[in-house]
Amino acid sequence: MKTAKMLTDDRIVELYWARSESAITETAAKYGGYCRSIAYNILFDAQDAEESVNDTYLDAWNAMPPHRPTALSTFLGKITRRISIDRWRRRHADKRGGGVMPAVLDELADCASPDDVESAIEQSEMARIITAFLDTLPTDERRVFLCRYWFMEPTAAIAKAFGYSESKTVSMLFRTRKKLREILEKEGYL
Amino acid sequence: MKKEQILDMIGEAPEAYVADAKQPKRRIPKKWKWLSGIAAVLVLIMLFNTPAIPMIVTAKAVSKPTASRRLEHDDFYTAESFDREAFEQMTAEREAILSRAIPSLASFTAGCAQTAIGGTDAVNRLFSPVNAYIGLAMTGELVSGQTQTQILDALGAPTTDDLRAYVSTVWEEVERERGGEICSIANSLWLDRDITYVQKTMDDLAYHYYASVYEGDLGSSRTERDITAWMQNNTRGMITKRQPSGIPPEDQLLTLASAIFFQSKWRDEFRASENTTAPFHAADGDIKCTFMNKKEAHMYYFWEEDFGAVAMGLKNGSTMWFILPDADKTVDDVLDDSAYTDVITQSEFRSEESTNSRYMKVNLSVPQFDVSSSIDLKEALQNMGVTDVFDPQLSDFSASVVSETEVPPYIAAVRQNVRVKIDEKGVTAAAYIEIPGAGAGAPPDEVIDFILDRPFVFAVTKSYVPLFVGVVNTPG
Repeated sequence: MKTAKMLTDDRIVELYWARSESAITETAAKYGGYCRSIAYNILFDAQDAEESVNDTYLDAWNAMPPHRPTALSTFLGKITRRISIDRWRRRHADKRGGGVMPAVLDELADCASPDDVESAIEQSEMARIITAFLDTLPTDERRVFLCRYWFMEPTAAIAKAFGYSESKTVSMLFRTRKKLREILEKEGYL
Repeated sequence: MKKEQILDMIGEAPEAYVADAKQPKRRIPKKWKWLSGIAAVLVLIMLFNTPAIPMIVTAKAVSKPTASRRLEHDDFYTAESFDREAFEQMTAEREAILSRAIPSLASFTAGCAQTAIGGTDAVNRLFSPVNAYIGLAMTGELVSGQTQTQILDALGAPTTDDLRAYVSTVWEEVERERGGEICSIANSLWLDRDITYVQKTMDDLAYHYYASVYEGDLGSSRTERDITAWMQNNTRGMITKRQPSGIPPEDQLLTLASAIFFQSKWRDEFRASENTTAPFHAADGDIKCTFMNKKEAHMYYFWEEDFGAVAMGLKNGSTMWFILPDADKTVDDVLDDSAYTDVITQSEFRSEESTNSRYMKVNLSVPQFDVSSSIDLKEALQNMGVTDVFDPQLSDFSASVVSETEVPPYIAAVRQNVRVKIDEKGVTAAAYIEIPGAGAGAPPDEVIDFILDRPFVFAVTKSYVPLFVGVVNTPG
């Protein structure tokens, strides 16, 4: 009889805390695919995506302990997202590249300062603002927004998943970005 | 603010919202759009509980009380300062014991389940392996000689020292109340006041099994009330009545009561708006059921010779397993082979073998059910070779009872009542889901349909410990 390796999230976290290298193996077995899909959406390159996922495991190893995530999947996904975006920025500093990232950044320019000036803003303040903003959105609108700008999914894929037309998805995202811009203006960041 | 900063800011979105965004989505026909708004405020609650009263030892009345001991283990989750060395040592020791205890529990589960919950009729049958295992282990402390050997063999423990380590480690592994989940196991031994008992045995029970040992006048209304109160207390008020033992008060010497209470929520909730009504093909004909559905949910799919299975994550790392016999098989075919216990306890995980499983997208359809059963595990245990303890002529309780009694102590019954409920409040949407079969063999590459519309086996595990196993022949 043959069965799968599938550890509970608690046990995987315990392995990290116990400094057991099998933590990485178990993480890869359980969440490798999940992380790869996030990385690939951003980087649009299998090899780059694989490197980002490997870096994710290393970051997770360094973060635990002391960190003990409440949702391991989201914790790992967040690391992958950050690493992949950084990688994308480094590799595409002088060119546009493929994937959804150029389009995502173009869309987010709707919410940015007209002159694209950097603001001094703490990470905790960012978390407060985005949480307050997401709290105001209807459920599906919030999900669509996060699928696009957190998971970097193509609009066609989002439309298919939600049963919307692509044009409806695009206009929904446009309205949501407008709301985000209003919040940022109100908070004094634009 | 730059657009890159906004991208980073979105990365700080709360975990709950991020996880929610990746919930399986579904095409919602226009006329049902309003339901999705309702579904957003609905919560699915899983509730499991089993009352106790598994064992009653009969003979002439006698006895006196001892102290109880509560569960004591280091909680590394809440400790103010983390002692890594102690944690590593504890983890290594625990893993070593669990690597022997869990296969024993799996084997015990398979052995009991075959007799106790098999059957292709319309009756639902459930039992709690861990509850029965601990109850029988405690009985093993009360007996000696061949009576004890038979029990140790059935429990897969070479010695009583091994058994004590198994039970206390399994206990500490599953006993939790955090992260939105409660898992609580409690044991007690009730001694009749006229009995002369071996104090050391009672102390061993209290220490190694976290048991509370009480003395009373067994069979009297006062002690019966005490035992009922203990049960109510340890099942969080879910169980309020005990079944009468049917044994004359003067014949009651010891009563061993064990309870398990488990409550958890799905890690990824079902949405009431996606419920459907469809027939469940029970042994005695089709019945209409409400099915909870998940579209393209990411989960593990397992396949073996007679069945396919999926694992649904619960809060805090527990798992509910749905095991569907292949179209030409029955639940008995599943229960007759230990393959399913190997899957649910992941026995071979530690041996680093490859897998008959895949993490994939599953279209899952599960009937809502609230099923209960009351079974006597005596026959199942006898089939596993535990015979002397049930025979007044052969049973040897010399490890716990000193006094001469007219009738030698023996076990009269091993009762276990179990109730498992998957409950979802809310509106059900009318729709129809197709019925493709999910058989053995490697699953297709992309999405598999897993429709539990005929009798199936389920299990609830925590850290690979089987808390509950049951057969749903008629959801209701």
